[in-house]
Amino acid sequence: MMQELKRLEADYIVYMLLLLFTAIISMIRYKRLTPAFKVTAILMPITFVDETVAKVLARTVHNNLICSHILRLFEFTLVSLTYYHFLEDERIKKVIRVLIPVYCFFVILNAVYIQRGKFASNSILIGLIAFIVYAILSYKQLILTSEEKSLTMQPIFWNSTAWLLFGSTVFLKFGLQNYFVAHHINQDILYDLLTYMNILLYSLILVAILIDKNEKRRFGYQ
Amino acid sequence: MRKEGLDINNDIITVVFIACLFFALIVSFLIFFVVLYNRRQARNRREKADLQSHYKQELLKTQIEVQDQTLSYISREIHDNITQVLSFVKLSLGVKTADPEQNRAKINESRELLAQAINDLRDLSKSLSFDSIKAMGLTNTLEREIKRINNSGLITVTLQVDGEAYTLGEKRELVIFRIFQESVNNALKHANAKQMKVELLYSEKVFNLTISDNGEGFDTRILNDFEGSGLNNMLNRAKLIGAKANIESAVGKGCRISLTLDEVIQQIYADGTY
Repeated sequence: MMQELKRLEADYIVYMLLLLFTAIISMIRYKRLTPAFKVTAILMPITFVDETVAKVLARTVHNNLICSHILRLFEFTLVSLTYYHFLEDERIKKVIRVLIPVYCFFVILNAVYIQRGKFASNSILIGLIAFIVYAILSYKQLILTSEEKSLTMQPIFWNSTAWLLFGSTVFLKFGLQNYFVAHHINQDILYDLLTYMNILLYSLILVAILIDKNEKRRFGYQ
Repeated sequence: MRKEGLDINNDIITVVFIACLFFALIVSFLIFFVVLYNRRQARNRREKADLQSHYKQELLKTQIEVQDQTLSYISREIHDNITQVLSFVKLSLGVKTADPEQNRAKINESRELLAQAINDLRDLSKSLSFDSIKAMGLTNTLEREIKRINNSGLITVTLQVDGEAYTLGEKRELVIFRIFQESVNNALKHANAKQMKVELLYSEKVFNLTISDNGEGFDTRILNDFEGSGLNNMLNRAKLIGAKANIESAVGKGCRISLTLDEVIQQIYADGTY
């Protein structure tokens, strides 16, 4: 057991500890969160379990690619539902309602036929495009809203920034990876980059979950 | 072989450059967004301050109008009623007769008239209190005002209250009361109405006031003209307190004014200063 732990890299341990911490905080604060972040909170323990199972499979059967396919279903559905609750435009909500089953169908199709036994890069890239669009739409809504609130106290700002940075970096990583493979360049730097971006992603989500508060304003004519 | 190595190095430099450019673009976008957001917030704050200043001015104007109306009512009452009664008492007591019975009857009659004048003065002193809405609330103030209007005999006003009355906030109630006063004025001065109905509905989330009369009515297109400025004033004031007002009328069909305070619309006004 100790030997197994020693074999893990420090940044990976930091990533997993952060993920575990975010998952625990998400569950503790669950009742106090807004519906949008309740959905994101559910995603955290699921991601932690998926990452743990992936590591175990990598060490035991040397193939954990199925985990990347399964996580896509949960990740896309729950992140989309987060924005479904946050975004106010009815047309966008309609699109999200349609997008979730269509994407899930695609993920299954991709896992069974297109990228069977391979890394779920197709699903990841398509999902991340949607997340980047959600992030930009949420920025637009934040700018147009008349609510007086500091940007740093807006959980959706941190959440959207997390997905925007992570999504963009993954695109960059995939692009570079093809080049690195073609020219036989060591890809360690890319994996490190991805781990750091994962750490950034869950750190920002943690910030969002920590500052999110379901303020049920009881109204009375004063 | 060496050339190939140099090409790869150049490619890596290009790739690193593109990657840096890419991150710089994202960071620039985020900075741009933060600046834009802060500017918007500053503009919203300015607009809100302007709105509040306008609101305070309008509220002051409303307060002055309510006071004017009350003072003119008191002046009319003193002139038409109390002065007349006191003059009559003075004249009556000035005439002496030899018959002690007749004198006693006159004194008794004068005492009754004086008692009536005292009662009227007591009522008037209550009207002089401009804080009556704050002290009595909208429903009680309306009841008292309607009683006074009915006593004048110029028009018959009925009041119907549905639901359990709750406070709408002093300032909102003042504006609503002023809208009621303006409606009565319009009904008397322009519509020659003989009957008026005031309905208050207090439900859990919505407050509704409906004032309808059986007067001559008017073409609602005048709301766009200067002629309809008094009515527009009512609509604007309703808007000011976050209420939605509507005026329905047609020539010969009377007039119906409805005002609704909706909890959802009120959220933006719910900062305690209104």
